[in-house]
Amino acid sequence: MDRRLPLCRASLALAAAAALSGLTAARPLLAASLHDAIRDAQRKVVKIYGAGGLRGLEAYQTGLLISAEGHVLTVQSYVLDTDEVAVVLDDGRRFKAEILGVDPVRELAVLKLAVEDAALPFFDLPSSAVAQPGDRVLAVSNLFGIAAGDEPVSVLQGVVAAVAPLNAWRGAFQSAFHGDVYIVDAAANNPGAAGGALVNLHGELLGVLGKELRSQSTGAWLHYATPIDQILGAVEAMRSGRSLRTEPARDAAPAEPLALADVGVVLVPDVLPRTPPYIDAVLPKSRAQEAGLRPDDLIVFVDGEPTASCSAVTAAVGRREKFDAVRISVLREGRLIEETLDPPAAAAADAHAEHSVEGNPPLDGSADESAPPRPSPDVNE
Amino acid sequence: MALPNSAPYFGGVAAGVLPPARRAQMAAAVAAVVALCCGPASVAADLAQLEQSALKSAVEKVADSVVQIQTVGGLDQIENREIGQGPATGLIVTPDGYIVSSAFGFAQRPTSIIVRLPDGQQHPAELIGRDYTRMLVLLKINCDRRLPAPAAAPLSRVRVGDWAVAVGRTYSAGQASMSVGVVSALQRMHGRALQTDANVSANNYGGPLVDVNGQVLGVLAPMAPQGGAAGETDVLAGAEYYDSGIGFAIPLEDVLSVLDRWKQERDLKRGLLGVGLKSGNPHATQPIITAVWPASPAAKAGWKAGDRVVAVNGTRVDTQTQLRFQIAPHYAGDTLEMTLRRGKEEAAEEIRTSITLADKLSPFRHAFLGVLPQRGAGAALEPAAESAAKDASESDPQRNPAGDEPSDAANENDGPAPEKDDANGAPEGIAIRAVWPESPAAAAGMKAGDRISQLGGENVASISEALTQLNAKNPGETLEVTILRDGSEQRLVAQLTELPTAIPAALDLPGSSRDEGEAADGEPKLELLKIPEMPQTARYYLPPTENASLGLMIYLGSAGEDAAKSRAADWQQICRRDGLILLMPEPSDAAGWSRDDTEYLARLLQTALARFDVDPYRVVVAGEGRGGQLAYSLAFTGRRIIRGVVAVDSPLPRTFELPDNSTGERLAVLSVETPDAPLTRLIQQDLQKIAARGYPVVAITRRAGGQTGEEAQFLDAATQAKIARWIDALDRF
Repeated sequence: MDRRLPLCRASLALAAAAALSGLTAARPLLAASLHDAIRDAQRKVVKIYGAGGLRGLEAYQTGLLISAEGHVLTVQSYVLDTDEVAVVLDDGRRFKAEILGVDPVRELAVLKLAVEDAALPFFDLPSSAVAQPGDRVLAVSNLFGIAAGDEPVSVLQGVVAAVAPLNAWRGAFQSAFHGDVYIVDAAANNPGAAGGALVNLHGELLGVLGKELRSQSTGAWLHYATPIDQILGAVEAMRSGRSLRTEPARDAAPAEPLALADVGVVLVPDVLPRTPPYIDAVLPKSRAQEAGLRPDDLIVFVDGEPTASCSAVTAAVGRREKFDAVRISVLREGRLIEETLDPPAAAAADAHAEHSVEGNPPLDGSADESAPPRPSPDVNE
Repeated sequence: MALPNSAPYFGGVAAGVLPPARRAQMAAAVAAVVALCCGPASVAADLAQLEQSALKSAVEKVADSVVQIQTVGGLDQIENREIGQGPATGLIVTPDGYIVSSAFGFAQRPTSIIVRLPDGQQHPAELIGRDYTRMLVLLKINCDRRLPAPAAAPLSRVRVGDWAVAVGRTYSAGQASMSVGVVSALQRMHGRALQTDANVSANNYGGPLVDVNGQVLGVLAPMAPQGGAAGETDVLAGAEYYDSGIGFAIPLEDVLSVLDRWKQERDLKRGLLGVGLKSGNPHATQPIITAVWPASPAAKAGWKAGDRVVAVNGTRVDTQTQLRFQIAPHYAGDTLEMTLRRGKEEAAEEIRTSITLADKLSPFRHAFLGVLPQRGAGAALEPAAESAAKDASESDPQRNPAGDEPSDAANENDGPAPEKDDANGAPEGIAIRAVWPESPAAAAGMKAGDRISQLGGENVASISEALTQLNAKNPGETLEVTILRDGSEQRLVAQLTELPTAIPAALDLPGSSRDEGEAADGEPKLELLKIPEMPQTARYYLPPTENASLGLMIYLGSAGEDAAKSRAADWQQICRRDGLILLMPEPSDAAGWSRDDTEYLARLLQTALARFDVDPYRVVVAGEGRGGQLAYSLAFTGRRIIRGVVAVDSPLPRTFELPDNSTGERLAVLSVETPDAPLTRLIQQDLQKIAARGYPVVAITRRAGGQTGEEAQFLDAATQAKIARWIDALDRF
C-alpha cells in the first residue's frame, strides 16, 4: 500500500513504540481490509461530463453519490453549464443529471440522477468522519479524466497537512469560502478531481475535493478538501431544490466604513507605493489617544492582518464598520504593542457630551443615525 | 475484522516503563508478537497505525520550536518576480531566542519582522544576518522565558530512506502543518543540503525537516541545482520546484556548528579562491589553475597558473566537481589546507598551502605587453572566430570554484590550440606589426618586424597562445620575451602594464593588408543577411578580401535602406583599408532599438561569424543612443566573443547588472560623446563604473555643432577615423 513501507520499518518501529502510549484507546486504523475500504469508496464516486473542452478547460469533473436515489454532490463549475450533464457510475451506467441546487459560496451543486431502483451505494453525509493533521487519507477522484466507462476512479494517498481556513494565509485566494478546510499532503486537486472524495483509511468520507486553487502571492497550487461538517446544511438545502443566494461574506462592504480619522490616527504622507505606515499624529481625545497610540508608532497589524503600507492600513481599517472595535498592533522602540481601540459606544457618548457643550447639534444627529446597522443599547437611548 | 487490542496496549505500557534504550528491542518484540498471532493483514493494519502515530508525535515534539514569522514592508518584486507577502516559518535554535529561517521569506528585505510563538505571544525580531551559502537567515527575539530549542539529528546516522517530515507554520499560527516523505539523498548541493521527497514550498520554507523521533534533520529552504552568481535572485532560486518531490533542508548540525560565528560575523558569505580553472567538463577535467587573480587568496598563498589542486584538507580531488564539493560548504574566512602539484608530471613537486577564502575579489585587469600582431598570411596561426565563439560558449573560467557556476559545459575544446605548422616551413612565432608607444614592449626594445617566439618560457605561435601566457600574469609583473630579429634570438624582459586607454595615432598604425591610398570604387554594394524565422533584415558591406580574416562591426543605428547606404558610404574606405565588415541590422520596431531585439542580435552575430571569415580579435558592436545601450548589453553578455563596444551618447542600460572583467574575455569600451549632451553626467558615471570593473575604457568627444537633421545621425570624419583606429588596434596585447 505504501511505497515507503519497506524502507524504514526498523526506524519507524523505534519511534512508534514511544508514541504508542497515547493511542491505546484508539480503534485500529484499518478495521476492514484497506482494499475493501477503497473499493467501497470508489463505488460511491461518479464521473461527471458536461460543458468545456476548449482552451484547457476540462469538460469533466467528479461527484459523490449521497443518496440511494441518485443525489450527487459535486462542485459548481462551468462543467455544469449545459443541459446535457452526463454522470457515469462506477459500474459504467450512464445517467442524465438534473441540477437541483447550487451554493455559490461553497461552490457546490447537488444533482439528481434519473435512477429507478433507488439502490445505489452512497456516502451518508451526516455520519461522515473528521480528521486531524497527520492522519492518513485517500483522495478518490477522476483526476485528469483517466477513468472512463466502467473503470473505477483513481486513488491517491497522503496525510492531512493542516486544518486551516483557505483565506488565512498568504493573502488572497480566489475563494469565497472562509471556513476551515483539510489541506492535503498529496497531489489531490488536479484537473477533474474537484467534487471527489477525501476519505480515511476506513473509507469514511471526510471532505469534498475542491476546485484548483492557486496562491496569488506564491503561485503555488493548493491541495485541499472542504470538510463535510462545513457543508451539511448547505447540501440539505440544495437537495430540497433551493439554490443558495448567499453572497460571499468578504464582498459585503461595511454599510458605513470606519476611517482612520474616526479613531484619531494620522499616518505619515503616503508618498511611495509602499510607504511604511508610521503614525504621524494622534488627535487629542481620540480613541487612538485613549488607547495610548503615539506618533512614530509603526502599524504592523490591523486585527491581526499584516499591513505593509499606509494604503494597506487604510484599506484594513475601512473593512470595519464605523462602530466596530479595532485592534491595532504597533512597533515602538523595538517592542510590539497591541491596543484595542474601544467600540465607539464610549467615544460616541463622549462626542455627544462634547458636542453638546460646543453646541453642535447637527453632528450629534448624524452620529445617532449611524448607529442602526449594529444598534448598541448605549447609543439608542 | 476485530484486532486484538492487547498488542498495542502491551507495547504502550512497555514503552512507558522501560528506559528509552530498551524501547527498540521492545518494539521489535511487539511486531513479532503481532505477526505470530494475527497474520500479515493485521501486521499491515497495526503498522499503518504505528506509522501515523509515530509521525504525528514526531511533529508534536518539534512543534513548539516552530514559529510563524510575519514580515512587513520591503520590496514588492525582485527582477520582475513577485515576492510572496505571506507569513514564513522559522525554527527556534537556542533557548535565548535565536531563530533560523529560509532567506526566501526575507528576499524583499522587510522593514519589520514579527515572530509569533506557538502560544500566541508576539515579538519583534531583529535580522542578525544572512548565510549566503546556505540561503538562510538568523533572527533574534527578546523573550523573558527560555524557548524550546529542538535536538539536531546526528547526520552520521541519517540514511537515505529514513522517514522525513517537513513541518511548517504558515497555514495557521496555532497549528503546525506536516508533509510526510523520506530522506532522498545526503550531501546534495555540493555537500550543503539533505534532499527529501516531502512537499517543500513557501508553506514550510524555514521550518524543520524532522526524523521519526522528532529530531531535526535540517531547515527547509529552496535551492536550485545550478544557481547563478551570488545575487539577490539567488534567494528565490529553486522555489519553482516546490512540491515536486525534490526538496532541500540545510542540516541543523551544520547550522549549529557555525551559530556562534554567525552571531558574531552576522553575514556568512561564500568563500572564493580567486583562480580561473581550465575549461572543460567539470566532472572530468582536472582542477588546473589557468589564472590567479591579483591580491586574491590564491595569489597570497603563492599559487601559479599551471598548478593543479590535488587535495583539500587531506581529501584527494581529481576533478573540478570534487574540488567544488570540498570548497562549497566553506565560508569566506575559512582556512583550508590545500595541496598543489606544480611542474611536469614526473618532476612535479607537491606544494602544501594554507589558504583563507575571501568573500570578494578585485576585478581582473588584463596585463599588457604592447604589441600589435601582424595580420594576414603568414603572420600567426589563428583559429577562426567561429571556433572562438565556440570557446566562448564554454563555462565561465571557474573564477569562483566555490560557487555554483553552471557546470554543464561539456565542450572538450580546451581553448584554441592551433596545430603547429612546421611542415610548410612557416616562420616561427608572431610577427609584430607595430609596437605601442611607451609600452612595456617599447621599453624592452621590441620593434615592428620582430617575431615573438616565446613568452614566459613557452613557445607561442598564435595570439591565443600569447594571451594564455599574458592572462597568467598581472599588471606590474615581469614577463620573459624571446624575439627573433634578423634570424637571431634575443631574450628580453618586459614589465607589464594595464591595457591602454588611449587611441593610437595614425602614425603608430602602419597600414594593415591594404594600401591606404587606394580609392573606393563608387557606391558600396550592400547585401542582405536574413535569419530564418526572424522578420528583420540586416544589410552588410563586405570589402574585397585577400586571404586575411576581416574584422566585424555590427552597427545599431537607425533603420532603413537609405540610412544604411549612407552609413556604408561613410565607412567604405575604412572598411577597405582595415579589412572590416560593416553589418547593419534593423530594429524590429521602427521606433528604434529595444531589449526585444537582443535575441535577434545574438543570432545575427552567430550567423555572421559562421558565414564570414572573421578575425576573432576584432568583433565590435557599435550603437547610438538606445542602440548604444543595446550594444552595451549585447557586449557584456557576449563578452567572450565580442572584443569591443562603441557607444555613441549612450549610458548603460538602466537595470543592467555589470559583470566584472574576467581572464577569458577581452572586452574594451569606447564611448563617444557629444559635448554638453543631456546625458553626459550619467554617461561619465557609468564609464567610471565600467572602468572600476576592470575594463579598459576610452572616452572621446565628437565634434558638435553644425550638424542638423539627417546629418546629425552620422559621425564626423575625425571621430570616425578615431573609432577606426581603436578597432584596428583591438588585437593588441
